[in-house]
Parts: sequence; C-alpha cells; structure tokens
Amino acid sequence: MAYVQKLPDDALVAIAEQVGRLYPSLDNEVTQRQPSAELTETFPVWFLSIDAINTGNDNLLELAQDTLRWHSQISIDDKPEGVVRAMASGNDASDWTVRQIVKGDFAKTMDDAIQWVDAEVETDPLVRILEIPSFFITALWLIDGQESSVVIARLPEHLQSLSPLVQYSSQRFLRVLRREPHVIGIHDGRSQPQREDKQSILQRKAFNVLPIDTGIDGE
Amino acid sequence: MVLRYYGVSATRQCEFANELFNRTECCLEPSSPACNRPCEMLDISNLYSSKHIHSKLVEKAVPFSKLQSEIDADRPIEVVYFWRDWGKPGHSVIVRGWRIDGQEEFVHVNDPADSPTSMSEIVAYAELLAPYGEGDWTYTWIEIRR
Repeated sequence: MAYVQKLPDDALVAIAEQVGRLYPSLDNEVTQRQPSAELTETFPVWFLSIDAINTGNDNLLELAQDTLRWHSQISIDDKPEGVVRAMASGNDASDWTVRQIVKGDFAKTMDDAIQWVDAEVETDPLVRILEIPSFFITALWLIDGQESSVVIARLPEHLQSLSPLVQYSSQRFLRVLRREPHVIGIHDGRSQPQREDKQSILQRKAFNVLPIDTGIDGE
Repeated sequence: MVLRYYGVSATRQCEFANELFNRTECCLEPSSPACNRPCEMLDISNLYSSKHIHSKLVEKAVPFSKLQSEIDADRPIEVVYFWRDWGKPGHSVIVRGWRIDGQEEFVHVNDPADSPTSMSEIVAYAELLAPYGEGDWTYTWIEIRR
C-alpha cells in the first residue's frame, strides 16, 4: 500500500484553521447549512524544472527539488472540493501558512489519481506530488527505494504521448518529456527587470474582490 | 477574462491567437503549431490597445498596496511570472481581489492554467512574488481600464 510522509497534527490544525477562514471567500454559493469540511490526504510537493529534465539524467530522485510546500486535499461533505498548499517558516505549528487554495475540479482530478494508485499499485511506495509547470503537469511520484515512477493526475490535452492514470517508470517519463516541446507561454523579450520591495501599509478593509468571471474559452 | 469584464466581445483565447498570428484556423485547430505559440510581452499591451482598453506595463512586481488600490478602483491587474529555467517560460494570471488574514496578504487570482471550473483561487502575495520559490513575478499591467 502506498504511503506518505505525515505532517504533525498541530501543523494540520494550523493549516485547517486558515483554510476555514479563507475557503469561504472562494465560495460563490450562499448556504445556511454548515458543511462538514476536513483536510484529508497530505503530500509534500516537489518541483521538476526543464533544466533538470534536459540534463539527460534519468533519475528523478536526483532531479526533483523539494518546494517545502505541502499539499492537502480539502474534503467538503466527503467530496474532494479543493486543495491547499502550505509551508512552514519555522518549527512551530503557528509557523505554517497557507500559500494557495484552489477550489474546483483540480481536487477531484488529484483524488482520482490517489484512488488509482491505491487500487492499482501493488508495491508500497512513498508518494509525493511532482509539479512540472513548464508542461502544466501535476503527478503523483511513487518512490520505492532507488526506483521511482510517475502517475500523472493533470496534463494538457496537446501532450498526447502521455496519459493520466498510467504508471510510467521515471526513465520513460523523462524520455517522453524530452521529446515534447515545453510550454513557453509568454516570451520574455525585454531586459531583466528590477524587483521592487514589498511595502507595508495600513489597511482599513480586510478584502475586496472584483466580479470577473473565470471563463477562458467559454462563450 | 479582463476584456469580458469590460464588456468587450470576441474574447476567446483562440480568437486572440488568430489575431496575433494572423491566422483564421486557431478556433478549429487550437493545438496546431501555427496557433499554439508563445506571445511576446508587447503583444498583450497591443491586444489591450486594439480593444480600446487602456493599460500600463510595468517591468516589475508591484507592492500589495498597489494591488489593493487597483482593485479598489475596480481595475483587475495582469501579472506575468517566469520560471527560472532555460528559455524562461512565462505565464500570466489575472489578480482580481485582495484579502488580509491576520498578518498574511492574499490575492484572488484567475489562472488560465486551471480548468474553467477550478479557477476560484487564492494565493499568498509572497507566493505570487516567487511561485514555488522557482519563479519570479516580472511584469505587471496596471491601470487597466476602458
């Protein structure tokens, strides 16, 4: 049975409290009923860069980097409804802060991959999340000693040489990625910019959100 | 998203691609090499201009206070960050809200990398400055208005 590293209970409680405050701001539906919400599966999030992929090394254990972020599934009324990414700035539970919450079908996509691994993988690997933003891929990374494999949860449609919910050896996965064009998106054709320091200000309000709909290709 | 917010029609991504790359088939074959291509920074400014939307490109991240003032003036902000990889792949998101939770500053983001039903997202401002610690918020369009 696959297993994961655990976060301490007090860290999970700290994350859950922040999720409890922030998650309702993502909800457009007004309900009188208090839903049953909990954090369920939790995984460390690792990152794979194009530079690492292109080294020619086929050992993911040597290529992926720990982001120090942890992913938790958010379950509402026993359904995967959102995900939270959090990280710690220190050793205390109070040092855990939410970095990102996404509400919607990404949670179901991740849940499908988790369920698939539980049902189909017969060994007992350690499971991490592998983010490859340059290909828009999110995967479960299964580590079994010095061997590892990948089960893709989310990938873009145009990457037809890979499929979700298939267990790829790390070697095969990396070799396929090397043959595929990575996402460029926006090309930086200008000079290197300067970073402006964050400024602190006094705020009178606690939030403001514009009613921008979320459609991309929708009509 | 922004154009639709301002009531401008013809805002599908494939229609942008048709316009940018002088094509006609991008809505029928969005994954074709002729259509699925990167765009340049100034293409975004030019798209806004062509739709009679005013915008100002700033070559840096902006402070949280600036995001607040833009949102409070009912103006969304477009942010571009680049991964620190070879080729520096870039990605753009729309900031449409702000929120403070204790000492933490958050922004509401519409991210086209998410599916249309996964796009309700809140991100720590510090995370947007350096996604996963592996990217850099590099450009910002502010003063976006019709």
